[in-house]
Amino acid sequence: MKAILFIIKKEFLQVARDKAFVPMLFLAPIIQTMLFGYTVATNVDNISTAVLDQDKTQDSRKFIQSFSNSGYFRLRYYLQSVSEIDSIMDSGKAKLVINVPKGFALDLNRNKPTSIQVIIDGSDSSTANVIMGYTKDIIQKNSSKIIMELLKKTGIKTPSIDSKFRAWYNPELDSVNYIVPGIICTIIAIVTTMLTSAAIVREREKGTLEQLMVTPITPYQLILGKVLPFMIIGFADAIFVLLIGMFWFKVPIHGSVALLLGLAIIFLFNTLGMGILISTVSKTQQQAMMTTLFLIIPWIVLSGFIFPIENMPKIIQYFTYLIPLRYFLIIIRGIVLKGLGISMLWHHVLAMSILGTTILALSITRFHKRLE
Amino acid sequence: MDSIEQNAKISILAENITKRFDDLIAVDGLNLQIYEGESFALLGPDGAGKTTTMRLLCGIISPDSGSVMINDMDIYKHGDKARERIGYMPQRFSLYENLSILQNINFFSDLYNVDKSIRHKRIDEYLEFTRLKPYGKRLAKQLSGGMRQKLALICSIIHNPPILLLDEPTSGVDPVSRRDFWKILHRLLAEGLTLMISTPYMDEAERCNKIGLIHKGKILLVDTPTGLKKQMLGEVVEMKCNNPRQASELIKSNESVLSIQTFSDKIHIILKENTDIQEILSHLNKRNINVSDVRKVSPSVEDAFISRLIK
Repeated sequence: MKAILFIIKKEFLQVARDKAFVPMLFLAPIIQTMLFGYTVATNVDNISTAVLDQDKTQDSRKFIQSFSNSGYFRLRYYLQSVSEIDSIMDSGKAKLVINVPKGFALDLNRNKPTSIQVIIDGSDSSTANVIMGYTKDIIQKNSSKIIMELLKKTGIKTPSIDSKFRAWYNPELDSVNYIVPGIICTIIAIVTTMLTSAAIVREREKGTLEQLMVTPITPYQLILGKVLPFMIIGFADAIFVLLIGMFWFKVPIHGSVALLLGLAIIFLFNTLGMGILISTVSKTQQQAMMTTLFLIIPWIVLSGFIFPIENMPKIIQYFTYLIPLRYFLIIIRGIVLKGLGISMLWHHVLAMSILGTTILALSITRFHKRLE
Repeated sequence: MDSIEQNAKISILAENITKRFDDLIAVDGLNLQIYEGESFALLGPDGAGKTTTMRLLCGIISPDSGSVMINDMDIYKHGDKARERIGYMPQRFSLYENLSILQNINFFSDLYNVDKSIRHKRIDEYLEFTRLKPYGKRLAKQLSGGMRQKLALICSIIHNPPILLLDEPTSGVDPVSRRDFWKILHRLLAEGLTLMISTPYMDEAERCNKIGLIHKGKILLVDTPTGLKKQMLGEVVEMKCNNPRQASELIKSNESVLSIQTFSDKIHIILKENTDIQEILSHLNKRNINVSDVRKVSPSVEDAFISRLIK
């Protein structure tokens, strides 16, 4: 067992010698967390809005005002004619145009139905959907307010259904709360897979593996000694990102941090196994890096980190069951956002463990063979 | 010689080992016996199968067939036990370039479980002896070829192995470092080490007390350097001449000439026994080649190797 410690000690000596490595270890997580934390925010607000008020009445102004009052829309452009709509949308300066036709107030005062036009930039479909939702909501409110006022005047009482929405687990619907746990997963995946594969390939590339093979050390001691340092590093990075999330982005952690870190170790079996596997098919460190990227990108895309798995084609959805990151994301989001315990998560943990053991066993067998 | 062999223990015993790489047969039914305390040179040209043989002997790769016993232990079955008895230095520098001399040595001392109480004294002694001591903190990548090789040697003998295998230990090493290198080896040999080296250089092989000629993955013969020379076919004649290249072209086809080696101002001709040299000389003279200093010389190992290949 001591042999493993010697390898670990040597590995850390080498890591410490690498000047680019130590900053990378902490800078990469910071940059990634900041990048994702601030940019992947799927909250839509401050929507740049253009207004074409052809009615120019008190009623039309009040109606338009209700958009800016909602807090989602920022009225930046006031258009004078229909001909300006094209250019403002083409330039992308405005995400939507609210067009109030002449006669808007007149129709309302005569108790006649009237209509307005909303033009939305549909090139980013998900943002467009959100905008459409907000817009409908605001118009609906305006419309029912008019009806209510009218009914009030006539003295008729009407039944109505009032709905109160409450978002559980993430009451402010703040996307950072959702993204930060995901970053922890991806950082662990990238850092440990890449470092493990590169560190093993380096021994082969530099010929040092040959010298190690004549020492009494066994392949298992060697592989454990090579892999454990990166397990520790990956673990440290996970804690680091977690702290950034907690103290910088104020992400509340509802569940047990100990459980989260414990399950992270099971996830690490997957990524370290992948790292070993990649090292057995790569001849140089560059090859190992490229192969890692090639594998990690589909992992991230298909894991549900950014794109919901439910929206993917059925075949791809089945495929995602083979991606360990998928399970760890569900687990970590469950713990952080919902405060779930192992009793609710055990089947994901089981799937992740089975995948991890399989990958690790496969990779160690291949590593053994490649020693020849 | 023979009496030693009868009493001595066999340190390395390779029986009928064969190793294929796809279509290429790198080692072809090779047999080898190296006795305790011997220094053995595996001599052969590039591509003869030297490195593969060395790697097979220390168990880094396993053969398609055959067996290797190290001190009566099967290296492929009891690898970890047998490997403690061996020190091995690969042909290519195989230490950690971004670790210092001392860190490298300590790492291998750790792996070989060298006792802490004797370790420092031993490391100190080896560093002193190889004149590496002032550079202990220097990174391996900043060392010259000769220094690297000496460091690699220290790392492979730090656990005091009774058997040492060196794969082309002094290729690309400056003469001074080479001398240092052999100084250490001679000292270890005096202490009873069994040494095996592989080399393409005759002068290096002659430093050992036994030489095995390897060609196309087979051992052609094993003998002492002097015995090997005695096994020569024919005799070696050295002649100085003004145009060695032209001279060798002229007599190449002569049926009593077995082989010619051309040097800058002379040629070595291996002749069939009882050849009349005068005939060759007159042939050369007719073509205006001035020959002087014709004499029989004692054959070098190189001559012996070539004559063996002709056979």
